Amino acid sequence: MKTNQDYELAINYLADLLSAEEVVLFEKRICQELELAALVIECAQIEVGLYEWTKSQPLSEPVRLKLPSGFLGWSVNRWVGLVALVGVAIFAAIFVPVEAGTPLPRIEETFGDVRINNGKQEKTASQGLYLFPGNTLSTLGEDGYASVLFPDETRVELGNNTRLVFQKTANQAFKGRKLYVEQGSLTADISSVPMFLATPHAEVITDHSRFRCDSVEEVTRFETETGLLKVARLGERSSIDLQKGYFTQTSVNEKGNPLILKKSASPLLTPLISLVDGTGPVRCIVYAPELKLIISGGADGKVRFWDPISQLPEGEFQAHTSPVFALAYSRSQKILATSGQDRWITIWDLITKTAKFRLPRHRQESSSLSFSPDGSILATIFGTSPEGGEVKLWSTFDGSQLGTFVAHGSGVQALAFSPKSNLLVTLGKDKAARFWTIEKNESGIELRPVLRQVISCSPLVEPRCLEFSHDGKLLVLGFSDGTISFFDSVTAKLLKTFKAHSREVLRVSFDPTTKLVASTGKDCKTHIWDISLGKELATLVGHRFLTSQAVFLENFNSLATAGWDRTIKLWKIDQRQLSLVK
Amino acid sequence: MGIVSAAELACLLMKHRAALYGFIFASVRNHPDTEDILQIVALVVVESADQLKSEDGFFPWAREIARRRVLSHRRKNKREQPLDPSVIQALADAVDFVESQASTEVRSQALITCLDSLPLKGKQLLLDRYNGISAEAIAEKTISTVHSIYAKIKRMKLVLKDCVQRRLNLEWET
Repeated sequence: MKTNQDYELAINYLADLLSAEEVVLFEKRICQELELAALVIECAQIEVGLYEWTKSQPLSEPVRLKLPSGFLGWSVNRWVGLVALVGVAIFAAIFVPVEAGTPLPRIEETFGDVRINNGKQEKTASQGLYLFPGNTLSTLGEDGYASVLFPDETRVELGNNTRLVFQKTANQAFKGRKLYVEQGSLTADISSVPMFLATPHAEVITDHSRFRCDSVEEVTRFETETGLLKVARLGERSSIDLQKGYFTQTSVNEKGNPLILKKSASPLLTPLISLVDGTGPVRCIVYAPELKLIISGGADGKVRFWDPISQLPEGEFQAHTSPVFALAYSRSQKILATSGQDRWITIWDLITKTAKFRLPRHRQESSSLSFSPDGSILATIFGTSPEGGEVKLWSTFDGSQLGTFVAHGSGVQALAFSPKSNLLVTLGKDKAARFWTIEKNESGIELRPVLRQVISCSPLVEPRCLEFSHDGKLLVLGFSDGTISFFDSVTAKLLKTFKAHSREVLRVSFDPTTKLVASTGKDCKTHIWDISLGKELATLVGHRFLTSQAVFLENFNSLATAGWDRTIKLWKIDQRQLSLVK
Repeated sequence: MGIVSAAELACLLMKHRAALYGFIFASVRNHPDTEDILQIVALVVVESADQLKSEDGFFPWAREIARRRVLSHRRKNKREQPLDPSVIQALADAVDFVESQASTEVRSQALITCLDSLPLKGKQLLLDRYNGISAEAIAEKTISTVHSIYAKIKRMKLVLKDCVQRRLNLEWET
């Protein structure tokens, strides 16, 4: 039978007032008496009920706003600063809605390896988990991504290799909204509720804005896409207003110097429309002008067709059992090659939308495919691992293997056929681009090196992608340091280099007239370059995560981009207008 | 999906959330860990919905998932969790028993009614304490001793416990 003493024990037990010995005794009794265990549960339910009830009650004390120390001197005069501070405090007390209990942000979406650390332990982050003050959210590796949604619709998206700390603060105005970017990059879309964000070098207060923050090694860069940011160097009093279209950067070495506003390099364009794949990252995209269709490879292994005029889906088929990694389209044969994470490569007839051949399974997934100009040969890489420096050539008429050739001492990163000749260029992990010609002889096909033409890259960077211009005269390479370089495809002579992205370049693409080049990178942006002017024409901002590939749509003055945010976006590219804007 | 749809599963989870929370809290005795574990339980429930045999069996099934998660939590945090696995099992059995007597939903409603009947000062004391204000700070504010604050809180919990029990008895009788 339960006694009053039992009640007290149960309540004390839950209030953590028992000694270790008493706990042991009490636990023994719980195991033996169901009624006592039930009593503990009932008491726990009272505790939980009180906890929930407290969260639903309004705060009894008025909110006291404290601005962080770095912002105390926004105004030159101390008195003006004090008056402004009081004004902000009154404004915040009246207009800033502060709920009882912290309105916690939640994880909206993750890709790759994402972890939460609460100071005691680390676990894998998954959709729907709450982020408490003191938690650190980390996106690990090249594919890591996380999107965090706050109750007021503020969204913060973390790029790869980023560590974001949700800091504890006694300041009610920023409770649950004080963030610290230890390293990496993020994009924030802030609602009407103010947010405080700090990095190792700078602090920002903002509301009603969209901005990007990159904190890499010793430099922090903020760029405003909409709204206004108040930016100050860490621990300094003076701040600047960073408006739309401007950026600023700061490092530890510049301490004491005023922050400088810099205009963003090119006009920011926003997409016309987003076509939603919805299944996961869209890693590849091609355009088939003859069919007037955009073709994308989905994370569910499906190939999807999109009509750029009606902007509607135009069918799909299941190409692989896992994400599609690469696509290649042959204009002359109207065939499509697909490569999946399942390591199969399949050639499809796009008229009948049926599989022509499935090539023997590769040792690794092939992330680069290319058709010869007449569409009779498909070149594939055998993997990017150090031992996979081989290129395979396949007949598209019967699916037979024409030959395997060792192209590089280590893995092959990418390859491309010239659209006008039998020239093939391969990019290797050995940081070289090699030129080959395909020659047919009695014994079959031979891949002959063009000995004079080797592009050796700087040891500090790695070539990531390449593309020929439509006339076959130019070759563009994208590098791991964010630069793109143009080469003469006959002499392999370097013509121009642009610093295109703040992070690695993922893909490059020429427009049909060879006047423009689009580059996509891990900084989520797409840049359009005018080759003859040697200038950037526009920056396309819209994808929430990595922009994997861009393709120009012939005759439409538009561009389609595919992103890891599960969308394909269409952009209007009016070259004349962009030149005027510039 | 098994015999219940995703929407039905979400409803069941919401219905039994408080009971599961109570059990986890009784075992780990702090709210952040309880919330973490409950989220994992909800994920496992959704992922393994195929195993659910019937809607009636939802609570014991979800409670068993919760028990395993609590044990897993205990293994990871051995130093901070003095509870023996047999105690966790006893509490798991008890939560079934308590839930069969009166659902957590009914108990929560009874508690809210009982809280309404508390004097304003008592309510404020509970609010302050559960909002994380230390007993020392409350004692300073109310010009009393820390010991008396603890005693008052304990007394109020007892009052609430008795009040909830009385209301439940009344409901059974009517």
